Amino acid sequence: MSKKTKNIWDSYDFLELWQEKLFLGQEFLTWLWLSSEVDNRFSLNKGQFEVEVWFEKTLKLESGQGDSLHSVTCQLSNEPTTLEWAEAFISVINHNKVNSGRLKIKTPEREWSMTLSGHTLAPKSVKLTAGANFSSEGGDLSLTGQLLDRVASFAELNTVLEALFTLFIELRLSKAWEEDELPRLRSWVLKWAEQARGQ
Amino acid sequence: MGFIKGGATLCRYRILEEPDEGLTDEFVGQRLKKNAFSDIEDTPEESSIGWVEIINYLSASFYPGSFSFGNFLAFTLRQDERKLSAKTLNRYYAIREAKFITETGRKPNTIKKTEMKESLRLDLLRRSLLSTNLYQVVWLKDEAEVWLDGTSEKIRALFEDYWARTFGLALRLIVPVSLGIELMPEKFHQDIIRLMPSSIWV
Repeated sequence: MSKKTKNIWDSYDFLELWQEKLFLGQEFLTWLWLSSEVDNRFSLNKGQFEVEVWFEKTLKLESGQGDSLHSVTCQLSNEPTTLEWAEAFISVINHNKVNSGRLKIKTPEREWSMTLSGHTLAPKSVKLTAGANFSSEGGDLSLTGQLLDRVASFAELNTVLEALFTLFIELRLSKAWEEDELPRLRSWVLKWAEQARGQ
Repeated sequence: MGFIKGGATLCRYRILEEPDEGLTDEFVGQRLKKNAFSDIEDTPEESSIGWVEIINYLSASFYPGSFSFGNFLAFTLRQDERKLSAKTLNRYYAIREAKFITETGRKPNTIKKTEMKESLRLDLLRRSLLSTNLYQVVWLKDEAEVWLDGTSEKIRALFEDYWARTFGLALRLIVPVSLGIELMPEKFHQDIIRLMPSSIWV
């Protein structure tokens, strides 16, 4: 039925592998956040479409597991004189990774806000904040009409999230992750740290 | 009510098998009806769980137009519960026991005590208000994918159990590692499995 792979699961226990690879979700969110701070436009599916991503309000960063779990919650600063996400950048330098965050994703047609956590990457509290049919919410459409519209919108969101995750996994599996991507993000964080020292 | 209005949660599952008789409205409708929610408003039952229609959670008629929406199916898992705390039960039991002693001039023995407590528990349950939880479900037919509007372990366990009882079709939660495996060509699957945590900062 599903075109999706299931054979590999004959050889691996799903729950064990999920727990063992929890870092993938955290690394994806950390990469997405830092990348969005460098340039919030992402070219997806080999240039087929472009989306904008930006994190807002709160980021939760973590390191370690179990008894050694260390967790920091960082708020986006409202002070115009303060560098945005100051605490979160310091947290990354201290080897923490993003475990959850509230973000917005914008395509030419739609815009969503949601909370993503590294545990499952299931989008939570998803809201359609702009775009096609946004104004219809609670308006003239019947409940069935709203359901049809919103399911189509959520399916589109999943396509975008999958394209972002594919971009990350492709990078993560390539030499470019160590050779280009991490140095690019680290140099950006360093540049930020120099700016912070200058303030 | 996330898939119709308000904020929605998309807890994603992959459906790993197909019904023997094929995925038809008849198959889904029959299974939903068989496992539909039954009302406990006028009973002393503590809880009830079952499927209701997504557009109208007071109805469980499940005619095709109520759950089949073209390329997807949608319905809601409804759970009604009454909660009676031990503290409340003990408070009312003390009153009932005092009345018994006044009327009979003796303390109730163990058997009588158990009988009085159970009768009181049923009385109080009948008088207590029900709370209703609704968990919406969307089933994308072409993608063999299910979305549950809830991510907590408790909600997932409740849904997974009731899904298995209703449809008997195996599900697997979509999580970062399984998503990576689904999205990447087969030649990369072992590479994903061999991945180790990377230091973002050095």
